[in-house]
Amino acid sequence: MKFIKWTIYFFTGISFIILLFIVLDTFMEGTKLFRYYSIHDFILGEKWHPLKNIVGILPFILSTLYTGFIAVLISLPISVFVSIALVFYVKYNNKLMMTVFRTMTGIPSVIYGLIGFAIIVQGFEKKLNMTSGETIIGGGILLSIMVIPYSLSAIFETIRKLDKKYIEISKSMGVSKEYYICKLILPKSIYGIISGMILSFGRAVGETMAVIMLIGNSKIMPSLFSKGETLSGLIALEMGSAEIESFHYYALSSAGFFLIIILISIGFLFEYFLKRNQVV
Amino acid sequence: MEKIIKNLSYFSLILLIIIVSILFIYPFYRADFILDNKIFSAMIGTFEIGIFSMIFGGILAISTAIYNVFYCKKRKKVLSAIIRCSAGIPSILLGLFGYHFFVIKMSLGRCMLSSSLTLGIMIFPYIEIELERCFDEVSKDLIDMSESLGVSKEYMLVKLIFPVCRVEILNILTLASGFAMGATAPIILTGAIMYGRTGGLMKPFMALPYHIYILTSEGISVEGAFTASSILLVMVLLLNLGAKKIFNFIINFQKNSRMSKVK
Repeated sequence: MKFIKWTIYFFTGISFIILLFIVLDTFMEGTKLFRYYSIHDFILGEKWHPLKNIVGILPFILSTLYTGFIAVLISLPISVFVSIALVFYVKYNNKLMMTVFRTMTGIPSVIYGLIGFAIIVQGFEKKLNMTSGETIIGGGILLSIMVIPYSLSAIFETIRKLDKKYIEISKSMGVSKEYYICKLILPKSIYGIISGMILSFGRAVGETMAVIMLIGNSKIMPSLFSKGETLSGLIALEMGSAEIESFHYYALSSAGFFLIIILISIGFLFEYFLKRNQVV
Repeated sequence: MEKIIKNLSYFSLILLIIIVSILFIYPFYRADFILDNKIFSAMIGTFEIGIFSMIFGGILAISTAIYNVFYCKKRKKVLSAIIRCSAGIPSILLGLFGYHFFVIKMSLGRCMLSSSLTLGIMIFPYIEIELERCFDEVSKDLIDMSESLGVSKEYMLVKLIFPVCRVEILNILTLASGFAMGATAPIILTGAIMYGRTGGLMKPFMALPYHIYILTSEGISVEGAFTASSILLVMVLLLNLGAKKIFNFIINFQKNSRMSKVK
């Protein structure tokens, strides 16, 4: 029986060592570039010519942030209103609907990308007569659909708990349902909504495959209806062709390092708002 | 004001239902189901990668969850927070880590082993979080009773906790393997190939998600990509929705047969 205990200790140790290794590896490989290249030029540079030793990742950061913000802007109102509808208005089949919406997280991202390619990109080309349907806004719309289940389940749980807590009081006061929602539920659930927003933003920033297929992958400064390329897409597309331990390789590793810094700060924000949410 | 909220919420619910039905139906609508040998190789590769990554991730996650719930006295919240943070690491960064560490530093090369190790690390936090919740739901009375009887923790784990949580554990593992099957970004860097035969553990392999990506982005065949994606969708959804029922059925069947033997 001692054997089981030591096995558990052993594998737990291994898993935490692996997590430590991930952080260390990203940090070590990601900072090697800055021995030869200034951090300022790397973040604010607009040109990406790794073979001429010029690397700047500003366009990639901007298009990552653009797609993330578009995704949050579209998905947040939809998930707030859907959770209001599921808690207050629709009285039957709620559980079935939530199960179906949660299954959306199980669909592989490449299938989202394929459907988005067939509907959004080709729709832009045919309906709007654009020369190329691959745009930042198309990627943002697809991402907003992908992150809906995450923000929806966070907001739905918050609103349902608040409703259980206050429904008796509001009924005894005799106020209408809409007044109850506007004046009590929505202000109280603000931390739940913010944590859902941060969660979905983190998902949208880290997403790779669906965005690669929709966004066009051009290394230019992005605007809403132009092509662009995200940080994760840059790594996925160029890592296989970069020579090992060359300048290009270290530049891509630094891009990964930058992405992980963005995501870790988002994760800490999320933990903070999760704590605030539990207090309410 | 009153009508606006009601109408908006009904409108967005209907919008979401339409979107979900498009997501589930559209691949089958566009698929042509002309299967040839290539896609079978990709299906086998996808299946193998799911099983191997489930084994690697499952061992790590089960032991970590047991440690965190039953053995760890202090710092429990810190460990949980670390694991929750690591669930937020996107798959491409894990792919980058796998490429740096398994493929180059440990010189395994681009093969199924390094891909499934990477995917195992990717699904580890998901399994761990779900398992921790599952172990916490085991009623405190059972644990208190076994402790007051003076049996060791290991005996309690083997005889009490595992039989109670058996269906849940199997269900969580299959869910996670479905998640691993659909991941594309890590296997691009660690071992998927465009065309070839899926062989042993130390060889590169074909996988359905990468197959879909190549067919679409290289402009080879969108219909073929839809066929592959409808097959992948069926595999993943079966694992997602059907697994719990199947395990429940099997375990009930075993119990019934045991009972009939006793009689």
